[in-house]
This record gives sequence, C-alpha cells and structure tokens, in this order.
Amino acid sequence: MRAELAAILEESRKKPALLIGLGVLLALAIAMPFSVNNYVLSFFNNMLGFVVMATSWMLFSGTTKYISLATAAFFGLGAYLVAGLGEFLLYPVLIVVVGLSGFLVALVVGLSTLRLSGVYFTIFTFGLTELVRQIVTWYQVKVLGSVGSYIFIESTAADIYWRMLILAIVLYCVGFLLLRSRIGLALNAIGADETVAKHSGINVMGVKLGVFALTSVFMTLTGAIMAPRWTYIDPPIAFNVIASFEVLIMALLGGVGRLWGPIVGVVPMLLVSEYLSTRFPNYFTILLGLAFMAIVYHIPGGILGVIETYWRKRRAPRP
Amino acid sequence: MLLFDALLGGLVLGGLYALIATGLNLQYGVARIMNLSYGEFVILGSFVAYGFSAQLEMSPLWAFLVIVPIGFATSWLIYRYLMLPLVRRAPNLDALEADSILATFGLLFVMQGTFFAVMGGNIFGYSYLAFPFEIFGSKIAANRSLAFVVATVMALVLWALLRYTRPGTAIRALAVDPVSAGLVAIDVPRYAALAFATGGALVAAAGVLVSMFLSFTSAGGVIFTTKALIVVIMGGVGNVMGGFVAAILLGLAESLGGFLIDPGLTLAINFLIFIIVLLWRPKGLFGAR
Amino acid sequence: MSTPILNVTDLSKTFGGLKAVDALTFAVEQGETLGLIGPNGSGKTTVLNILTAAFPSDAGRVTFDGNEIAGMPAYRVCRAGIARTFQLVRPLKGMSVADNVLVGRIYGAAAEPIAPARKKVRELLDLVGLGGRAEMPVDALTYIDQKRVELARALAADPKLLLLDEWLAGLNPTELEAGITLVRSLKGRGLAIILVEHVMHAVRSLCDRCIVLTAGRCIAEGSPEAVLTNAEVKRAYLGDDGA
Ligand SMILES: Nc1ncnc2c1ncn2[C@@H]1O[C@H](COP(=O)(O)OP(=O)(O)O)[C@@H](O)[C@H]1O
Ligand SMILES: [Mg+2]
Repeated sequence: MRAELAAILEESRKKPALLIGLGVLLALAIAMPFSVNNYVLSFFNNMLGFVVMATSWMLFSGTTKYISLATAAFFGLGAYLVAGLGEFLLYPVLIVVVGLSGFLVALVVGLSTLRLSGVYFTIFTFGLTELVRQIVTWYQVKVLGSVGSYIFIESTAADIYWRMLILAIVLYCVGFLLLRSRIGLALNAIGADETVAKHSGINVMGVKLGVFALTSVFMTLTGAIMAPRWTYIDPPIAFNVIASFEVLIMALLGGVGRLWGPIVGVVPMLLVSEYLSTRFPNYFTILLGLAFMAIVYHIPGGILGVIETYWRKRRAPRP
Repeated sequence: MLLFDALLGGLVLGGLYALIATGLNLQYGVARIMNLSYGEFVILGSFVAYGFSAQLEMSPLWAFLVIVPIGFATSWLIYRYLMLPLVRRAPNLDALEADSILATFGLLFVMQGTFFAVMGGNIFGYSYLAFPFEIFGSKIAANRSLAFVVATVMALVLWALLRYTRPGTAIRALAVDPVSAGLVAIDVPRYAALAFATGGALVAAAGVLVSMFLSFTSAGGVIFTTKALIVVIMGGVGNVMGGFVAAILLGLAESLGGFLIDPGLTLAINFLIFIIVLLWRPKGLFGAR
Repeated sequence: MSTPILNVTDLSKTFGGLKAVDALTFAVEQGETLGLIGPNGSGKTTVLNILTAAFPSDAGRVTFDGNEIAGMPAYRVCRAGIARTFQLVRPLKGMSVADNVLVGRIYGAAAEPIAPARKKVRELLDLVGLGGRAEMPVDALTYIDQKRVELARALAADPKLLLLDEWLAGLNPTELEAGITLVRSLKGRGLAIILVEHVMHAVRSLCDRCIVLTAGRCIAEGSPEAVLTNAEVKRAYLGDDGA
C-alpha cells in the first residue's frame, strides 16, 4: 500500500492541473451550503446519498458480479439504529456503532452465502430487506409497543450535507486505492472467472467477504447520516425496496467496473426520477422498471461503456 | 389441539408452497431463467380471483378459466421476447443468470407498479367458504382444505403431463442437460419457452388458491418469490420431489413458528432454515454434497 | 535419488457411480516431466483437478513438497507451488493480457508486489511470444494466443510443479514445434511438469516418463518409447478390434 501511495503522489506531481482542479472542486463543494436554498441542498443530499450507495454497490457487485439487492437493508439498518440509539450515544460513538453493526450483518450474510454461486447470494439479498424490516417491526411491536420512531438528533440540512460529503470523499479514496491495489485485481479476476481466480492463488472467499462487508459499512452509514432528514421513521420509509432498485439503476446506467461510473449515473437518474415522480406519481414505479429494462437490454455497459466504445471506434481507423 | 391445528395449517401452506415452487423449478431448473418477478404472478392470480369473488360474486375458482391462459400466454411472451434475446447474447450460464436477474428485477417493478396504479395500495381479501371444517378432530377452514385439494390435483396433473406426454419428456430431458437435449433433436428454445410458460400458468393459478385464505397487497409478490426461491434451492434446483419436501418443511416451520414464537417472524424463520440448509448442504437437501 | 516433489497414493474419485480415478499411485521427481496419457474420459483432467484442490478426492493421499494437499483450499495449493492451465482455455475476460498474467504473479507462489510484478509480466509475455500485446484485452486474442496467456499466468506464479492439460492441442505444425521448444525450455529451469497430452510426438520429445490411464487406472508406466509401443496401451487407444 505504501508503494501505491508513493506512486500516486509521484503521478499527481506530474499533473498539477488535475490537482488544482480537484482542490477547487472540493472548496466549492464545501462552501456550497452557504449559497443555495434548502430545496437545492436537499437535492444535493439525496445525490450524495445515492452516489455513496451506488459507488459502494459498484465496488463489490460491479466488479465481482455478485449482484446485491440489499442496499436498502443496510440503509434502513443505519437509519433505524440512529433512531433507536441516537438519544443515548455521542455522535462519533453512534457512527462507530452503526458502522460496526453494518459490518457484522454483512459478515453474517456473506459467510452464509458467498461460498456458493452468485445466485444464492442474490436471492438472499433479495429477501434481506424484507427480513430486516420484519425483524425491526417485530421488535418494535413486541418490545417497544409501537411501530415507528422519532429521531432525536438535531441536524440541519447543511450538517447532513457536510457529513455525507466527508463520507463520499472517504469512499472515493478507499475505492480509488482499492481498485488500484492487488485487491482490485482480485475483484476483477473473481468477476471474470472465479475458478481461475482461486487456482491463481486468490483467497476468493476472503476477498469477497472483506469487500462486501466494507462496502456495506458505507451503505449503513449513509442511512445513519441521512436519518435526521426525517423526524419520524417507520419501516416502510427506512426499508424502501425501491431504493435498492434505484441504486442498481444508477450504477448500471453509469457503467460498472469503473469508479466514476455510478456518479455519472446518479445525476441524470435523479433528475429524471425527480421529474417523473412529480409528473406521473402513480406510474413512477412502472416507468422506473421500464427505464431499467431499457438499460439492461440496450446499454449493458452503461454511459461510460458507450463513450468508451465511441472513442475506440473513432480512434480505430487511424493508422 | 392448537398445536395440531398449527401442524395441519402448516401442511396446507406447505402444499401451496410446493405448487408455487414447482412452477419456479420449471422456469429456473428447465428454462434456466432466474425470474425475480415470479411472485408478481401470484398477486395477479389473487387479483383476478378477488375480481370474481368480491366483484362478480362468483366462486373464485372461476378465475382459473381466465388466469391459467393469461399466466401461460404472458409468461410465454416474456420468455420469447424478453428472455430469449438474453439467452442468445449470454456467453455462458453465469452471464445469463446475471442478465435474467437484472431484467426480471425490472419486470418486477413494472408489474408491481401496474398493480399499484390499477388497484391501489390497500390490503385485499374476500370471504369464501370461511367456515371451519372438522378433520381428525381438528378444525380447519374449508377454504384452506379446498385449496389444498385443488393444489394436489394440479400437481398430479402436472406430474402426469411431464411423465407421459412427449413435450413432458422433452422438458425433463432439458432439465437434465440442455446441450444433449439439443443433440437429440429437441427444439431447446421451444421447450424452454413451454416450461417457462407452464411455470407462469401454475404460479398464477396458485395465486387464486392462496387468495382464498390469505389477504394480499400489490407489493406482496416479493415475499412469494423469496419463499419459492428458498424452497427450490433447499430442494435442489430441478428436483421436483425435493422441492415438495422442502415446501412442506417450510410450511410447517412457518406455521409452527408462528404458533410457538410469533406470527410476525415467519420470514425470519424461513431464512434461518435457509441458512442452515445452505451451510449444511449447499446443493440442497437431496443434492450431492 | 532425491525425494519426489509430488507423491500420489491410492487416489480415487467417483462421480455418481462412475469411477473417474481408481486407486492411482504415482510420483513426480523434482525437475521431471511426467506424461499423463490415455483416451478421452480416462480421468486425466480429474487427476489434475484433485491435485489443485478443485474438488476433494474420495480416497487416497496427495503430498506435495512434504505437505498434504487434502483439506487445503485451491488458492493455498497454488501458493504452495502448483500452477495449472485448463483444457478449455479460461482467460480472465474483460481484463488486459498483462493483467491476466499479473494476477498469477502477485497471488501465486511468487507473491510479488505490483510494481516489480509488472516487470516480470513483460518478461513472461516475451517468453510466450506475446510481447507486443500486453495492453490488449485478452478477449481479442485468438484461441491459441489465449493458451499462451494461460501458460504465462501459470508460470508467473513461480510454481515448482506445472500442470499442463492438453496445452499443445489444436496447434498447427509450426506452432506445435514452437510450443514444444517452449515447454522444453521450461524443463531447463528445474521445473517439474505433468503433461497431459494426446500429441504423441510431443510426448516422445518432452516426457522423461509416462503413465497411461484407462478408466481411471494406470495400465502402463515407463519411458515414452516403451509405453507407446506397449500392446495394451495400443488396445486402450484403438479399441479391441481397431488394431
Ligand atoms: N465434475 C464432474 N462431474 C461428473 N463427472 C465428471 C466430472 N469431471 C469429470 N467427470 C467424468 O469423469 C470421467 C473422466 O473425465 P476426465 O478426467 O475429464 O477425462 P480426461 O481428461 O482423461 O478426458 C469422464 O467420464 C467424465 O465425464
Ligand atoms: Mg481432459
């Protein structure tokens, strides 16, 4: 890892423009809440949430081809933990507890399903959201006596924005290093042919489990940070299967296998879904489903895939 | 006696799960399509039955006349126009699996969204033969018993069709090995479509039966898909008998768990059994180790 | 004589009633090239699969370099020093030629960090004759070139024992000669090889010793010449009435 960092530093020294550009972008991003109204800020919060979840999804599912449909389960878990524990714990402690919980749940899911073929994993994650939701509901009814919780953490939209921004930056750094490291190579090898990967010396189970758990932490933390947007949550809000679906659409729309893919997918998708959900609220799910199928059938490589093919074609005829 | 009631209820539930899982076995075990929109057909069947019973005030069994052809035709069209292109473009089985999961996940939302748009988000149910019926000194609702009997008849008919007709034989050959089946001049895409469509008809019919004693919502399909998947995998993919045993087991566990622990945790109980089976026998209860 | 690097005793494997490998015993010396020949379906690939822990055997022992293979996961076997190619090539599609080989280098027995590994990968690609194509996607290569990538990937691991499953099958006569020369050059490095092969000319010129399988059993063992002229071996290949 140290050699990697040195290489990156070396590389960035050669590209001062890129470095300055990133710095300016970051400064703008940090200052943003001071210059926009709450409606815009809330849109950006939404965007950051989806960027983090879609990128996390891509880092594991996009590379290994183990399709996870459980994003909402981790998001909801994070939100609910904040609702339940928010009053009792200091915020930093709360965040650590939430992150660890996401990690542990992912470990249990991974240990029982990642040894098997990808379908088992997908099926399990397909039902996982419903499962966690049922357990939470049961717990609330039996133990607390009522479904739904108030969230006692006071956070302004700007607080949420900055926290999400930090989470997104951390995720991008982690993802960048991960994909360039030997782990990234292993993830891609597993996605290409797991049998070859294990016969080439890759601890396939270890890599899958570790990266699945790591990316699940980011999904869980997203739920935790976003929870104070609502003052009251109940299971249908927290465990919204549509959210898993939207994350999947965004990741595929952008293009899997590339760190920047999801962010390319999130922005157009959010704008389109914002438009559709206000214009055709009753047909939103149908349109979402149709849009997704169009992506699966017509641009399986996502927007970045289309761009790459286009560039390759343009470059090809030249000698 | 309550325990015995729960056992009997579990048996009936298991019988219906068996029927639902058999349809999925036809789709996944034979046509090799992992269909995540599968449970939506249960809801479709339930809605049609609801229409007959609550709206037309006829017996919900009339719904069979409508839903079996609809389930068959829709599923056939889905296979022919949505799945076959994926089969053709997939370089291997893994890629097909991933593609079909994604495509049918999209389809799930299209169907679910349609249910919501047309029927809304209420809980639906109707009362049909809702009187108790005594069996071995235990009471069971007449609608449940009827559902069980019809499910059994359907399973037997399906079994006979698979066993004694030419298309049935072709489908069974396909389940074992699609490549060799192709070599002995079986038109693989055609029989895969037939199997897929039969699965769709079966599950929609099962939806009619389920609605006779369980209430349902527009969003309820996901649970049925999950349960069917669990049953198919526990029984071993392509193994109808194994699926049958697994379904009964799941029905019993759900019913007993609901009785002994809490009815709010049925899915958790299902998943627990699923995990145990996966860890203990990854290829299913009756698969080779 | 030195102790063998690989010891196989009484190895058996059954697939649903079919005995694919039946009480097989053999050893491979350090630096030796052992030919594993026999008609299709005689269990050769199954033996390689067991040696690399693709699946467990039903009975018997395999020790490699003093360690028991049974119970090791496949990736440990690779790191312990057994590398393989596949009968039907399995390139890591969607990755570049260089990355295919890099995987073998950084995760195999060599376990090198990425930067030095990249240099070694270039050398290996030159060795198998793919020097100019390192950055191409592996999907774009011909079947034969993909076989070369696979060999480079296996060699990148720095194995002590290399398992080649019909690696020379499907080559045209010129390519075959080049392939034979390449494999021979590997022998010079003290690498032990198990060569599963149908091309008898290659078996003759490369193997120090051969064992012949039919229906999972060893029916002959000895020098390539002796084994290939053995009457029973001819019958196994050609059938009873074929000769
Ligand atoms: N994974 C497997 N499952 C079931 N049967 C297998 C499997 N692998 C090999 N076999 C069977 O074992 C026998 C030996 O196969 P194999 O080792 O591939 O032979 P060879 O490589 O000598 O041609 C064949 O009859 C084959 O069908
Ligand atoms: Mg072979």
